[in-house]
Amino acid sequence: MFIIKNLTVFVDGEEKLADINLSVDPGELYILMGPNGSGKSTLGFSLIGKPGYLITKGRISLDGRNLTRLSVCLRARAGLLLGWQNPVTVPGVNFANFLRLAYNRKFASRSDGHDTGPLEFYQLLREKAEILAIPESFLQRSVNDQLSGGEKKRTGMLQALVLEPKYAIFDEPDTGADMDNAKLIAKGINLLRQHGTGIILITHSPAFLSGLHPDKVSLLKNGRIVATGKEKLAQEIGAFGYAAF
Amino acid sequence: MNHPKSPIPVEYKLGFHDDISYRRCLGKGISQEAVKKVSAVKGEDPWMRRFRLKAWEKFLVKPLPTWGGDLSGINFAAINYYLSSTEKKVFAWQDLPPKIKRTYEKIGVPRAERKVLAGVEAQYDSESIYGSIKKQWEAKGIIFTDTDTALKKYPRFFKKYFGRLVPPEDNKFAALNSAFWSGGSFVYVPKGVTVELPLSAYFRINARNLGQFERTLIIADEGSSVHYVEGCSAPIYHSDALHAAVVEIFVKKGASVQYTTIQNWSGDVYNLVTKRARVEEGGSMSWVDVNIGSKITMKYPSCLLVGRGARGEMLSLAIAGRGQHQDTGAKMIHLAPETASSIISKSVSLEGGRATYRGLIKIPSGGRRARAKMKCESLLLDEFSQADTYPVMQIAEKEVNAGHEATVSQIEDEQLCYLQSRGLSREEAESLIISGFAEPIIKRLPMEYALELNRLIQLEIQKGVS
Repeated sequence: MFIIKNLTVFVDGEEKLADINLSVDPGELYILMGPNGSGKSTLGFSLIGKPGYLITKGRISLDGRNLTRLSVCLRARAGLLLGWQNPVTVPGVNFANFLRLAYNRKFASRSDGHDTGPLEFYQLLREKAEILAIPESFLQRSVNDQLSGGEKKRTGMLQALVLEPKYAIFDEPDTGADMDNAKLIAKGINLLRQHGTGIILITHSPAFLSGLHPDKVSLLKNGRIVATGKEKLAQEIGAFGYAAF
Repeated sequence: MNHPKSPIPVEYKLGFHDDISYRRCLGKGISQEAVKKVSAVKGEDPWMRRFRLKAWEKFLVKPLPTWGGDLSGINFAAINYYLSSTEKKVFAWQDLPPKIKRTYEKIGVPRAERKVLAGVEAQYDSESIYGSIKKQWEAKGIIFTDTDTALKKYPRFFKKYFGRLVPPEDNKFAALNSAFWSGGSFVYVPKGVTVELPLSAYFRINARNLGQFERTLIIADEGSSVHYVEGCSAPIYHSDALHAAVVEIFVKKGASVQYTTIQNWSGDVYNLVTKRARVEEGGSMSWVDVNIGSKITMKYPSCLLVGRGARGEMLSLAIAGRGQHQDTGAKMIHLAPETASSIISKSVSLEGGRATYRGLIKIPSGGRRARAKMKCESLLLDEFSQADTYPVMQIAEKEVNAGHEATVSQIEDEQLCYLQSRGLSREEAESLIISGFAEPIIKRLPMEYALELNRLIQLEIQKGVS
């Protein structure tokens, strides 16, 4: 289980999150909604340990392991993945090569410690890319370079399918994606869940949630969770707006 | 084989030297006598001897450059101006003395030759000791040999081209090279012939305090095409060595030449090189210049675009680490209409290293409708390091299209965090970002060299962050 307990976070000396409590089981889908500036992205960055996001109180644990003081890299290797709202472009760094390196780091201890070679990995990557209708040419581009908003989100989802995180946070994966892209991303989320990945999904769109069957929904406002419920809560938020809560 | 002790953990893998006895040694010291001795050893024609002696006079009167790297530490009297280890050049690796053969195997030259090259020239200290060109290329009339041999066998080329593009009076080190030159490559590609695989030269300094003065002359005849790749390395002695080469390239009408350098001298070497190409109508010249090693490098390859529609290109990458100053750049001189040039210069400075870029684009009247662009990007990895850029544009023509941009940046925290959030260590993320930064240059290298270069960059970075 992925557990966030009493989490308080400061950014630039200001309290941005206060006393956050939530937990996600393997295969569960946890929806986090909230108006702009309520601290949703801050939570995502705090969970992966991004520098500048100072945890002053509370604890993050993944299947019993305390992540609170671990580096970004070690949290990722422990099985946590953030799908960034604004994926970062890394010019000149080949997507397939980068992902193979990440894959080998993540799974180094899984087999006999040998790296998966470029050909074998490329085969695996191509199969997963097909699921998300990602053209092969994208795999040879630089990381997040020369891609539209929706394409970036799709290749971000591809990273998750390849790295098979135990728990993932997707920060507005539908934003910037057209209807077809959004469908493919939802498909990725469902696949990950089937595989046992517990997911925190940050979104504004109740429409995106139809067909995803979330287990829990929480509403974040001013850095605090102000309401928690089932799928119905998302529909109410959709109908009445954030201001009603 | 000795592995010299170093005060800092140096990852330079080619810093070993061979204990061998030299057959011919001039001894240290610089004088007119020394110039005469080199000429005598070569048994060359009187005109070349006169050329050397005139160049010697130029060397005496030319001042050391006061701009660029600090050259005041060069002690010309402590340099050995000629050293030869083997009696004669061989044409099969197994005919080399075993110690020397092992050195080239460590560097990986014979392997690269088997896999990706059309021919190889290997220079060890002052003389070329190994040479070979695959038969299929020789049959097409391509000449690829060391410059001393070429001077004897093909004097007509030398009377016409040698020293015409880089005359001895060009600068102090061109004069020094012209007086003491030994070795280097000679390439002639006949009309219309394309050499599909690269020709390669490898320059190794082995002796302490050596001065290596190779001289390369490339003539690509009309409509021909060739890629020449050079590499180099030297032992670590903590005692200065000097490498002052001259390279002259003649690109005839419609011909194209790529000249790739992967400079990986040890931190003992002053690397002061003059490289120039003359490009005729419709021809194209590409310099791909990678500088990783040396103590101080000063090198500004140039293109004289003398024919209509001639193109010049420079892609350079400099990595300046501890104790290094990479002062590099390019010159593009547009002497004919509709000529085009492009300079892309990238540098990475770390651990107190300094990278300087100097670029000149010159379009005098006559260069109508010329196009030129210059782009310079510097990456600083820490606050102790330095990057300077000095772009100059001299444009007398009105109807031209010329521009330049320069940026100095650091590795972005967002990029680092993004890559680390996929499980890469900070070190891995940094070296990936730097390889990505260098990628536009790396992708122009033959595969084997690209892999090697990525490995070298990773070593440099690991050295820097550890």
